[in-house]
Amino acid sequence: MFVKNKKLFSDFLALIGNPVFEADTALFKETANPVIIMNKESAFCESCDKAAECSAEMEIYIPSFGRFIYRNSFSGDAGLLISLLCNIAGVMDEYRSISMQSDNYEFYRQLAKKVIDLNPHAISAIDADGAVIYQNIIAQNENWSDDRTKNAVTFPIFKGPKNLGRIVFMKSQPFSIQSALSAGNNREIAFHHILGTDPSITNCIDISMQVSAANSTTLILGESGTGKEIFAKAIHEASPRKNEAFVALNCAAIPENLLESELFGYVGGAFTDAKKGGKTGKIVAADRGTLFLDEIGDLPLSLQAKLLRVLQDKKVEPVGSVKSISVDVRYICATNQNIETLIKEKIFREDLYYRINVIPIHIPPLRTRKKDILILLHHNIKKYCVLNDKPFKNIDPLLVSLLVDYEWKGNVRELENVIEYAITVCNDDCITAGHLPAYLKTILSDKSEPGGMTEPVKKQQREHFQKLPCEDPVLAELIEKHGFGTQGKKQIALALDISLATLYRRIKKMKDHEGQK
Amino acid sequence: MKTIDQSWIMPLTYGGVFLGSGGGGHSLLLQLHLEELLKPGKTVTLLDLFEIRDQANYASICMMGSSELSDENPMTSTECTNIINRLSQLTNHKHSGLFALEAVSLNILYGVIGACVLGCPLVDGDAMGRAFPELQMTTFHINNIACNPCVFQDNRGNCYEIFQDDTFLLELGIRKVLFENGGIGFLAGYENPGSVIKKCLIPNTISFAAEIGREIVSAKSYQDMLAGLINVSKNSVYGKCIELFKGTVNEIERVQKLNWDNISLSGSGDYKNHTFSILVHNENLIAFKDNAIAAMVPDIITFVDLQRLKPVPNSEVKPGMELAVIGLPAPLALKTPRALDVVGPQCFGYKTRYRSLEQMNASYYFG
Repeated sequence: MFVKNKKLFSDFLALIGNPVFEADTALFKETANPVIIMNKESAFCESCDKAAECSAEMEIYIPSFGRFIYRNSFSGDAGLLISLLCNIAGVMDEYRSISMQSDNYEFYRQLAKKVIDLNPHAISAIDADGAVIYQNIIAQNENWSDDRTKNAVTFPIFKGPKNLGRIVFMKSQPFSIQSALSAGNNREIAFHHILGTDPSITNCIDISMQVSAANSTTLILGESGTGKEIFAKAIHEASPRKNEAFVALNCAAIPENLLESELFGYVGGAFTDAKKGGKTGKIVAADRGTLFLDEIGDLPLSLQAKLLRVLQDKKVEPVGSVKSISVDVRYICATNQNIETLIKEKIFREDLYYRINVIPIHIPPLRTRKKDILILLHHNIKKYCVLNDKPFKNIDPLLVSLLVDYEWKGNVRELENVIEYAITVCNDDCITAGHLPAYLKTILSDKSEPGGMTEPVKKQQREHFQKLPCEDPVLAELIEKHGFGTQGKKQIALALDISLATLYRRIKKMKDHEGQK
Repeated sequence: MKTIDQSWIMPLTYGGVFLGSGGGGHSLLLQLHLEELLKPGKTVTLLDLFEIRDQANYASICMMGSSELSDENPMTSTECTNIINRLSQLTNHKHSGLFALEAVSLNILYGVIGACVLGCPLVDGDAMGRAFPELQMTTFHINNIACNPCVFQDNRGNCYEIFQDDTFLLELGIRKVLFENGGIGFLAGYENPGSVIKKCLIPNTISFAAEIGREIVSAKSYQDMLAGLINVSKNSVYGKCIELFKGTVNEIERVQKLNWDNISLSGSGDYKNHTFSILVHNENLIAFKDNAIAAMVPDIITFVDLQRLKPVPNSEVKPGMELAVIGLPAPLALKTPRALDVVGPQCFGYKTRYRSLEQMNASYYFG
């Protein structure tokens, strides 16, 4: 392990606690790799004479650099720390030849920001004049009263003799290494239901994972059926709000005159037929949680202005009420429309667009990530076999190749529906083109060869091939598939890319061979 | 199209052990042999199933017998040239590529060795999707396709040309020869045109094994490894792997008469106060958590050594070892009713209806 900038490295470690630094010690003398010890669980501790009276909670040893010992002061995310340490080591090694001043500084700055954002405790960066430069989401929601801040830890940051400011760290809950270790995994687990290896979808997952830790309003864009709500749910599940409500509202599914009361709620007597006790709106229902506004492009213009005010003021005024209710909601919006066009057509407010478009995520259509189709087919076959309590079915590989080339205008939702249909109607072991919905059968039949395309390999054909291996098995198979009629022969000639005359010669040769046998 | 080079050897080795479901093992000699063959600059082309030609012919090769004996009876690579050439003479067909009959344990490396020695591409798929102890437990047999003709060479260099339509009788015949001639043999067979191969093979199993292996090789912690394995397996025809248990091996009990082993573990961490046991018949077949079924063949049940962070075959499991038990759903080709007649729990003598990992953990798999 090579650490180019020891000062930056020390600062980085200081961000997650207050370690005591020691130079290289005899204990780790013969170790070439970095060592991280937690709660004395290491072979090094077993061989150490002072292990019994050692009070270290965690130790980090970096060869040719030194040893950092955390005594009751380690206060970060241990899983994250370990992966970052490894990253720093690897990346700094690569950057050995590059000037530290430019690239490494930017790298370190981003790392530090990430540590701050993902830390389960409140962290504030304050400049030399006392102004807050940066806060993580926990710090934004923290009560910085005198009572609480007396336990806060402050790390001053110097550049030479000049004081640049300080980092204030405040524990928001008792620290548990185990919970910190699982914190990083929870973020990934929330996205485990989203399948795909195409870079376009993995990028979306990466961005969403990062976004989940923050509180920013997110706009999910993508065609109908690409899985916008699944992404919204995953972002919520991976966020610090995961234990609070996830409330979804489809702006296009509710009549305009009801949408206002659905979204903002109303008080008793607000209008004719209003419930006596009033009704809680979706925004208030999502307080401290996440509100997912699907089809935001269909939100009526009159409500757009009202929603904009809620987003700006973080207060909601139910219909008929004169009092505002303060809310803390994370908004995720989604649409399959081009909002910029809607703005030009004056159907969507520009100011609301910029308010919701803080972090846009573009989910790619299924037809642009064809290599994921096989995985999605297999996953959904298993899913609907289990949910419908049916025996598992395989899918004909030739049908798979047809489905890979299909347009999938309804995206993943269409694929799921097609598989659900096929599972319901298929009583065989294998799903073939015959088990598809009628509309898809028509489209695919234009592309596929008639008959046999998805037929299982027939026993006779196999025996024929195996007993007469010197013959023309490909031709025999095609005859079996297309038949011996004129139309069939034309299709065989087409499939073999030979003329009809050549085909007749090959058939004759094959028959002669059979005669000899 | 992908290319296999030296950097694939370790991932294929560990991925192969993982997919072995406790069966097989790994052979250092085979790894070294492949390392020698895949000298810098030398590669093997790995063909996707979509890339193989319908009219071209492809054949499979595999090693048979005990993995423990493979290091005592090292192969020379001449046997794969010999058996494939003999098969080619029998059928009068040239082979446009090879495929592994069983892309796990030693056989995943043997497939690459064969393709390297013969200078032909290897197809990215296999006919078992995991380890199985018998020759008829393949997707070919499930599709009623016989291994006829086939060529078998024993460890003493005797070569046999076999014409047998019944794969079970073929298995019996080959086992007899194996027992009498050194316990190790090499088979070439299942020659078929690309159109049939496409229908029968489980796709992408070799590249999947390599991806699994890369996660294992690069893992810094068990959490890291499990997250990586889940991420890779969820995007495969197998499905997300699942942690079934973590604990210490108590006992390995052998029920000699029935040829079954029973490995029992006591839980640690989140599994404290729970017990786990696995019935083994060459491979891990049925797992029980607190005496209730937790996983069944053909789903894959694999041990990971928590000290070394590597998958371990059953031959290396010892009392006192700290293990995690990971389940991986089998691909659909092994789970249909027809497939379960060939590779399901009843085929090993366990008279219970198959229950899949997905059925038992539906919320984990389907939300």
